Amino acid sequence: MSAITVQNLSKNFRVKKQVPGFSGTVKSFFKPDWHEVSALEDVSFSIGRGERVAFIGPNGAGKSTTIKILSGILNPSTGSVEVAGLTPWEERQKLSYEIGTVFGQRSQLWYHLPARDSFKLLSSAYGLDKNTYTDRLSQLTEAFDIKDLLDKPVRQMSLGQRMRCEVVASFLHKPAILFLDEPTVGLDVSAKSVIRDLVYETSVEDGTTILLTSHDTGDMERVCDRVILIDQGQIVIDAPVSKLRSSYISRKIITLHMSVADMPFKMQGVEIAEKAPHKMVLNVDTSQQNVSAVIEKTLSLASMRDISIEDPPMEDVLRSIYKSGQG
Amino acid sequence: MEYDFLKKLHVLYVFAKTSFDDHMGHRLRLFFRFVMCVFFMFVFVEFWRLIARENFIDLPFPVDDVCWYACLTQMMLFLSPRLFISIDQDVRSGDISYLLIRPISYIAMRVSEGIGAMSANALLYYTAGIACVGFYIGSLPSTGWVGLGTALFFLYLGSILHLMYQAISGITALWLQQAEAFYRIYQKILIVLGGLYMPITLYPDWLYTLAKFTPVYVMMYGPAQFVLGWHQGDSPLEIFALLLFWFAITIFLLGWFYRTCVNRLEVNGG
Amino acid sequence: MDKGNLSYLWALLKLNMKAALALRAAYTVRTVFNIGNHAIYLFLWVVIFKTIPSIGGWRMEHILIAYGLGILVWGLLSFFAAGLRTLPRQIDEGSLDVYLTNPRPLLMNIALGSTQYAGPAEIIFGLIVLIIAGHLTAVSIPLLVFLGLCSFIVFASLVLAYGSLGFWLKDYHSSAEEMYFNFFIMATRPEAVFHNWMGWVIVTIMPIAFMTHIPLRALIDNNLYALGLTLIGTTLSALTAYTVFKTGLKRYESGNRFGVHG
Repeated sequence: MSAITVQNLSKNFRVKKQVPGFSGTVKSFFKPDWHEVSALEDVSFSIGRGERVAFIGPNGAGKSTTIKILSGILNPSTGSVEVAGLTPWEERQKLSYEIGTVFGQRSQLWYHLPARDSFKLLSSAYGLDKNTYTDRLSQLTEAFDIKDLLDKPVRQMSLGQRMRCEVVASFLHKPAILFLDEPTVGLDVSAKSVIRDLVYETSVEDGTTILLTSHDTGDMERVCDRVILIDQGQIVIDAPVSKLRSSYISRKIITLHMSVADMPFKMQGVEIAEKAPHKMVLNVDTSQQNVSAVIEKTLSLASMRDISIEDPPMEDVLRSIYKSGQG
Repeated sequence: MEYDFLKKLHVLYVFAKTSFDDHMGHRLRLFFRFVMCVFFMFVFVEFWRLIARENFIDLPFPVDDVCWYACLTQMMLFLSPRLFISIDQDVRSGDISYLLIRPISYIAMRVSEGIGAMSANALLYYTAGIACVGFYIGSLPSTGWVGLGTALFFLYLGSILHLMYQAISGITALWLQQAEAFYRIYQKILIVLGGLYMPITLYPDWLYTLAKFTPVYVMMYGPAQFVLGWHQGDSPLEIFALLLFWFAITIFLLGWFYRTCVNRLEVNGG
Repeated sequence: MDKGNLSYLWALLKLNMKAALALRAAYTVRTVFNIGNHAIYLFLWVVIFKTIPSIGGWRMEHILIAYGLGILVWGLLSFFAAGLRTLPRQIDEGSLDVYLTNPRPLLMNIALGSTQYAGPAEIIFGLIVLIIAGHLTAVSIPLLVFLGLCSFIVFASLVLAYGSLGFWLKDYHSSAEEMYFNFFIMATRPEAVFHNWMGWVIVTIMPIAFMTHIPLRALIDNNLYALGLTLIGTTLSALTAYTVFKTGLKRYESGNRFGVHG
């Protein structure tokens, strides 16, 4: 049984072309140059109940457009969509009980009031009775560790804390499907991990279907089982995360800040991507070399002031996919 | 030192230019606001025609001149963008903390942007707007093109001063969480003492004298009086000198108030 | 109305109150400012009527009622539907996204989703001005309440209709605010100013006549015809505003309000 079915979805926008210079400004004032831009082209996929899918791609790929169509905010140009058996833009109100949304850039919390007040308002919006609401809130409060945040005005929270509350707000009515649009954008590394783990655990517990957009490969790896990669409005890849990882994300990037200016380093499967006094960036091929082995070796050569391990940026993953001819 | 000053001036020019282009780019908005302004100006014309028709008071000016006067003061309100709202939004969204660390003064940047947007408005209002008013009234003011030109020139300068007071209103958001309350007071002072509804020479003496000693005098009545006939009041030179005087005071005031509020912001941590 | 919607409306109102109280200090200063601001304006009219005894049949009493009604309505809007005033900004910021995935009526969420303005002070000030204006009898009080309600609906419709232009115009928030302010000013102007084609403008595309001018005739002259006209005008304003809003919303939903997004 599928939770989301998308068939031949397309979306076009009309945009005005900017002309540089004063004469351009005046000219386009009298005669603007409009042209059609396609954000999505003939996209089809389906997502089963309880599946966790990442919708990834570079900026402007069409991720947010898709998620907005699926949650009923935008109308498509052509194509058909079914979410929880409903057509989103036609049965928006019915749909709202089935879905939850987290938009990284927008808040559903009241800025000057404690988060608890916003939760209460949402419970009234979804018509939860008092007991259900209290139980659900205490369950989520514990899971998301926001007990101390409940009575704090939202404006005093850090972005990470606020995001935790945003996700709780979306889980409150126990939606069957949760859409997350760039949920970790702007967060620091540890706050990102917290959000990812919590979304994962809660969705497993509730059996929530997850569709998450991101241009961060980490979001996809930690939360999702399946990944749909979209670029320039078209699906490039639709595969299990494990496959993507083994085929394309076989690299980690290690940045070292050494106490010595330089150190002699050479290791199989490791490439020195950047070198500067007191700094070295290593590109590790994880199919050939273990990350902890690399760290161990560097520590044996010099003492470190700082070490960071990162996933390769989305653009690199894309590049390696295109290079392999998959795209 | 001098080079540095010129460089900063150039940066401010770029801000103004960008804002000018942006304003021109939103032509629907520009037109819509213009149409509204023209309608409100016509309402003023009708207001004074009604008063002249029913002969309530002896107008010391020809009715057409008063109509021109009223249109220009109304136009002045529409000429400048609502700068205080941009500042208010920066404060409320917290963006101001990022903008403050830029090498260029935040307030200077916003005022420059205001001048840019205002110039875009002026391009339209000073041509099509004046044409509409002239057509509707049916004649030029008795001081002719020279009087009208003088008035428009000073209105432009007065509007820059107005932008600075808008900036002051905007900064009050740091203190009141919202700039509107303060702005509305200032705006009412501008409307009443500036003489939006009638030339302030028609006011009781004490109110007229009071108005003369405020900065709003050189924003509205001061410039617009040049369509009411020569030798009514001040000479252009006097208005120019008064403008310079109020610019000096206002820049000082703005700087002081801005620093006070920013210090407050740093204490609160944004 | 649906019972769930009603209880949601109540929850929203309570939360608005709470948000206002959370900002008590700023709120109080603002209240003082707002009242001062209206007082300055009223003072101007006193000055004008010292020089001119009557403008097209309007005396001080007319101005007081029009102005009292205007402030009252402004206060009611700021208190019960502040979000309508910020609609263009909400559109610009994409805040409607959140409301569109909420099961409750969109307009209710837009109108009450945030409070930022004073309101109670203006409501009280407006009432005081109306009391000073006189005309309070056993008949006129219920009539005044009814006319006040109509006036509120007309103003809210104007704000909704002109705010909805934000679906077409980018960065339109501050211009819109300017517009609302001017509607308020126009509505407190003597009716006789709007003659010829202007008379048509204020009962059609800018129906401020139904906000003060026509209700005033109903109240002061006990004109039944004016009462009927007010009722029709109010209904038509509300319907038109809703249509403009709905049309604009389609543009939002089609994404053409924003152009390409990621």
